[in-house]
Amino acid sequence: MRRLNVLALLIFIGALVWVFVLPREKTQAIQRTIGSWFSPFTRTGAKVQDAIVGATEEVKSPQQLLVENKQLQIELDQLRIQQQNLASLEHENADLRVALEFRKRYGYKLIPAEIINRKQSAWYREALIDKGLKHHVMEQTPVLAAVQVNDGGVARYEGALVGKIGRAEDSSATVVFLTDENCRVSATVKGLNNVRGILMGARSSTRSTPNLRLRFLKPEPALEPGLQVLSDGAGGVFPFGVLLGDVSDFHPGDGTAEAEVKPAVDFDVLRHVFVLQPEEALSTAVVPVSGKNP
Amino acid sequence: MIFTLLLGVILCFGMIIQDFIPSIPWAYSSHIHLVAVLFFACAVSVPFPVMLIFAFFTGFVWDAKNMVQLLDLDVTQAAANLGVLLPKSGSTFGFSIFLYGLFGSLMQGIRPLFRRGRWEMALLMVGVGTFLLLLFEYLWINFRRGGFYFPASIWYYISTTALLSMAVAPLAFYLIHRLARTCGYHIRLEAMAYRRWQS
Repeated sequence: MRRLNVLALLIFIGALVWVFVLPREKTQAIQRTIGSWFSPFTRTGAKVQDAIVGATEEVKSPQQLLVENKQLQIELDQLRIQQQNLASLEHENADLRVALEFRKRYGYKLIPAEIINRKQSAWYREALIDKGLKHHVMEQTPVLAAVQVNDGGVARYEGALVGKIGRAEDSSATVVFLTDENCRVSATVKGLNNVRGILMGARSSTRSTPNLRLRFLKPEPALEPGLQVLSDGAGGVFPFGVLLGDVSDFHPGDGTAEAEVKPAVDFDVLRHVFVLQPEEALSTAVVPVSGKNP
Repeated sequence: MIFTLLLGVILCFGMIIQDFIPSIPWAYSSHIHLVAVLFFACAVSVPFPVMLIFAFFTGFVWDAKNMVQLLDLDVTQAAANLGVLLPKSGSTFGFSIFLYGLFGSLMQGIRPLFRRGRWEMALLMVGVGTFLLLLFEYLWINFRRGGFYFPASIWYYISTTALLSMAVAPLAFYLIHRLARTCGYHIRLEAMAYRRWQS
């Protein structure tokens, strides 16, 4: 091996070690800088991809659109009524909180966003949304979508967890879907407060909505299919009680048990989402959450 | 020097164009890995030290552009409450630099053949390199997260992406050859090629 090649290899290894030991704050700053350089191309690329993939989708006829429009109008009216009801409930709840001297942990604000590109691969499930740092979208914050749930025969809308913001740039952000193994949520089961586990996605799947795994459960009690899985609010990243999915299967093990969970969100058709932003954070400077290197 | 700089520009363009290439849902979300194709085509066309510079640049920008680092603030506390140890997330900033350096060195192994005008082997190696790049990335994820899990879909995804990438490799080689000719850079050793045909 020539001397120059050996020298080049040594410099390369040195540079590689330097990159590996960079603190997380530094790498995040680098990512934001480089991400902002590429951001205009990424957004344009997303639109082009959407046009290419969208061209193969079925085109709806005016009749179908009319029917769909009517249906949406009805749903909108229903939502308006529900919103009014919720406003009165919110007042009532606030009064009760005051009465019970209940300390409000956080106030949340919903930032509506649209998915502009899905970064689909066999082992990453992410999407790019059209809102970023300048819209107060910050890293590590939860992302929700409205889903229709059947509550005792009555259909109503509820916020279900889509995932969390993995990285935020000026005018766009990457959402890591709940179906990605990297997005892990501390969860509980509705009606069974002592049942706690960690919900995570599948490591690899070709389905866009693979089932989730609720791990580290106690073998008892066995979970029945259909039970709702909710976030348990530990750590304060996800608020308590956000719908995650329904139990579809239960596998008791020796030490710990595992349940299969069908996500509440249909990731195939997901287009509009809401970034849940603590109002506390909105009133302060837009600084992404940072932490220690794993 | 100009040729090397232009190759750097091509790699930058590759990063941009990559965002315009959609994945194919019915083919296990496979896609053309243009950045890898361009890097391997560059790696076989330049000397070893320049290849290492390209490997560092490509891997660094790739990770900076695509890697997502999540914090597990809530699950760390939940795991402590449950008394379990959670596996790591799976991604490491800079790991792509290592992979590009490693497989770029593999491409350097066939450089003498490529310089004699035998591009078939280089073409095949682009496919092999892309396959190994994805495979090692997935192996690293498995290693970090604990437990090796290899369903058939993973092999289909990696193989189809490698084949699709290999299919566009001739274009990358043609582009680099044209560029070399324009800049007066000699990738191919004409004398050696001539000697081969004489014997």
